[in-house]
Amino acid sequence: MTAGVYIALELVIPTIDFGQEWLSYGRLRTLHTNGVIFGFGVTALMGTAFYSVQRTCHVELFSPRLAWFCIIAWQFTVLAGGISLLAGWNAGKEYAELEWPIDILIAVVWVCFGVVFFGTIAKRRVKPIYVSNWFYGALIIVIAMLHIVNSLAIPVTISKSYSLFAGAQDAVVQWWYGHNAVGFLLTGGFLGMLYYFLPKQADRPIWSYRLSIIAFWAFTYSYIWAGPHHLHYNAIPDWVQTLGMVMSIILLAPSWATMVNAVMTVSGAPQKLKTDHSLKFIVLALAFYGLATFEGPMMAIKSVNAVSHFTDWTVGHVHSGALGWNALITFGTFYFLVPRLFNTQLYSKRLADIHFWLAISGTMLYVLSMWGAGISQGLLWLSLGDLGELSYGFREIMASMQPYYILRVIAGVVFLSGAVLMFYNFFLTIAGRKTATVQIPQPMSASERPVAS
Amino acid sequence: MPFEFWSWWIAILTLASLAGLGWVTYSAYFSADRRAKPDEEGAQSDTVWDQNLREGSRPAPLWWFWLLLGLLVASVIYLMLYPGLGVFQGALNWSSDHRLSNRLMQYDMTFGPKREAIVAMDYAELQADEDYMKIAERLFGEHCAACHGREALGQANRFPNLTDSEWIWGGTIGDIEKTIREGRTASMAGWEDTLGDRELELMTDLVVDLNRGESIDDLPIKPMYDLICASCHAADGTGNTALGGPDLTNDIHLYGGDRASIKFTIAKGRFGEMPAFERLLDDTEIKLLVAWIVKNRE
Amino acid sequence: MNAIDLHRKLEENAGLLIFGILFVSAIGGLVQILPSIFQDTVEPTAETRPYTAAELLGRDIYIREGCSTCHSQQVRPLLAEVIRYEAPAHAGESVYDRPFLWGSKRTGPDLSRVGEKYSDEWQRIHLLDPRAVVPQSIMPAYPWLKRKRANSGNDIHLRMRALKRLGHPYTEEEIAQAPEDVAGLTELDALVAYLQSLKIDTSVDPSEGDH
Repeated sequence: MTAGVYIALELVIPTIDFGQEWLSYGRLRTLHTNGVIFGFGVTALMGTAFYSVQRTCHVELFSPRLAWFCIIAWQFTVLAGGISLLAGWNAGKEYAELEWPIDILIAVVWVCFGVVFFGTIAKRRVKPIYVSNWFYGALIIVIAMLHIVNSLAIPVTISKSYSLFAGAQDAVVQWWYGHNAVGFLLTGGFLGMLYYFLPKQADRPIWSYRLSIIAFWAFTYSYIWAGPHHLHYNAIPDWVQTLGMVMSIILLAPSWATMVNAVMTVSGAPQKLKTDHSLKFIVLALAFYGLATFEGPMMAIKSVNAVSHFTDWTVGHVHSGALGWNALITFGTFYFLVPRLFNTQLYSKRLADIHFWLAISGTMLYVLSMWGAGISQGLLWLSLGDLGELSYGFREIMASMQPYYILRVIAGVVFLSGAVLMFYNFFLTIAGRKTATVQIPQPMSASERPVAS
Repeated sequence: MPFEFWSWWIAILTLASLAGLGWVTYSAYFSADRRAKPDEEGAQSDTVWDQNLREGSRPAPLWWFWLLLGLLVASVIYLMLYPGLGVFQGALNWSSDHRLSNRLMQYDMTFGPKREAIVAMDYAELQADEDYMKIAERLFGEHCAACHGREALGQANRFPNLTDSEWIWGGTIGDIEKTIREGRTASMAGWEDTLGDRELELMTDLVVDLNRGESIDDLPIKPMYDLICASCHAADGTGNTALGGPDLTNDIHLYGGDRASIKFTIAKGRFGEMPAFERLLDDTEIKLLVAWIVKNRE
Repeated sequence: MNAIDLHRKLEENAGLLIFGILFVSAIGGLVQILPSIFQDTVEPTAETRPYTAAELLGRDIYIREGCSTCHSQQVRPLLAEVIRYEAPAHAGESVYDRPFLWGSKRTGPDLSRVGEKYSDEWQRIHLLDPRAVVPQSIMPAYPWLKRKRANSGNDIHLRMRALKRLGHPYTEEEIAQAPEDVAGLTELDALVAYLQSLKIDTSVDPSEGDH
């Protein structure tokens, strides 16, 4: 996230890389995206998956040693990957920039993640598998499939390989991966998080089991098709573009099904929203989720995409998802987990309140500035004058983005400072306390359930 | 394998899976859930996953069903109209190539006559039209400013000023147009090997003298100048626009006019290059640019 | 059998659930990707050739520095775009691009037609100090390119051989000659060679691109 703020600043003051290769925008930007997706996103998913799968299966993890290996090896992979990106090891595929040695590490850890997760499910003591685990499971399977296919390459040296796919075909494979590595991982995976932590914290059953079923299968089916909307009007066959667009629009329904389900679940416990920080973050995340999953299908419509493609609008869309949805729901689960895992109370509720407002204003400012930038870019690029000449030169349009880019830096700083506050708050919360282990609940039926407090 | 096979593959898998999605939705909405045992809190069975974690028995909202159904129907209609199902082009016979060629045809119809009129206009008339000159200035900004600067003042000690009196390749309308269309490649060889250290210093002195407008005829290095420089820069140093040899008798220096820069130029040579823009710009645009450059110079 | 009963079967049996997820999520790829693997319909255009040794090294530097995070290489068939950048992209132009570099963001201009639009000298100055020629530019400077040898890994022949295995029509002589061809080049030279190779393809139907 810090890298993100820094590169945002580089777009305002381009010389602050001080002529250092490893501080150059092209390298830090890949560090930023990979750090957020693999470092932040996957770590959050792995951690919460290991926590919630134990709770919902009523057993300890299958092979806790392997689980520790996953967590540590993953941190090592992310670290090694980050260093390799700064060193200029770059495979050139967006969100799959990591070179083949790191790709293999990812695949190994991922398979171990799958073994621990599904191993735990296999020895569960509750017969039906809970809905959050469907999503976590789909995440593991789908990402494995995408990662392996998209990373197929012939190595040349330790730091260089050439993709098995070329040109237009590579483009379709890459966005089949790229849309889902970001989208399916950051949407589907985090929906698993939502389905566990939201009803837990709201102390209500998930609103509708039927809707969960439909949401899950329709989502898993249609998400994978959406990749080609990143290639509208590019040199790939028209039929691929059309299918990508149609499925992206259908995707609106399953995305919103979960939102409806979640909103209705919380609406059963409105009073908790006022007092519970964890729930506040999760519900706000849900709002951004609804926004981003509406915006996505709209941007996948070819005539809208003609304007939005290649612009900062896309960047805004990704961040309304990544900041508004992913980061906020993760903050929410942190506020849930940290006191619980250390068996204590949060150090300061006031700080959590401030964090909430910093997070919402940072995200809003970010999204608004990128909407402004993106829409004006898109329209100005396409605008023609009286003689059919271009109304604006590229450099003029680029230079006019400056105010938006400055706003974005501010937005990033605001959001980041909120996250720093949270860490400070957690640091004081857990200072001097021992790590607690996950408590495994005993199987019980509804009649034995303790009355909710 | 023939494309026909894959075309059917695409069409059948797409439609069948969409139908499958429709069935799952319909069936999940309207089938009885035999095993559900709703309780008063709205949980659908007695399975408890984690203390208070249960699933609910509420029906899914009907509007959502219609939303999905609407999207499915719209999708199928769209796939009938536009190319999506393999080789099936769709009822509208739309393609992105057709779309572009239609737009280009419209473009020619809308703007063609005006653009052709500009090519036929004379320069004075064109230069008097402020709107056209604004357009031309914008063209210059998009295509020329990266080298010659926004104000055409030249920059980086490499790219010539287009507002001064010196025109290396000639400053007539015809010369300027030729430069834009075909580009120019200058090649001044480096002379350090031919000259050696001492003569290089002397030759540098000669060029400095030329710049100051002093006579060079008596200089001992002059015969060497006549031998290696005069063919491009002329015997009196006034240059040759046909060969792109700059005038050395004025104070305009593309590559820097201090003694060190001049010495470097003589020693290493210079290879200025202006790319050809014929493919990038059409007659109208070139005419507008020439008109603006000439007007701007005055 | 209704969907709820079917789902209950899956959610009570982890193996079936895994299978179900795999099946449902694979359909998209089976439709959108599989046909192109078994059926190579994209032929190179008449002007498309494999990159020379210097261009290939330059392209790999372009990838290393993440140029494609800000520069697209894809002219879309939209009127204004064709006016700004000339001929729209054709799939046949990218058949030797591993990976493709069409990009997803245009913070700086599209580069697919930048070849021969500027002189080598301009490209050099611009890469070393963009603001020396474009005052408003927000592009980073790349001073280190001048200091490094393009083939510092001594692996250009390995790179070309790997590509040959993937079907790029390099001859053995070209591969053997490659290290010598790029011997004196800096990274800057190689990158400029690559950028200059990104030209308008005149072999594709000109009625599409010329206005």
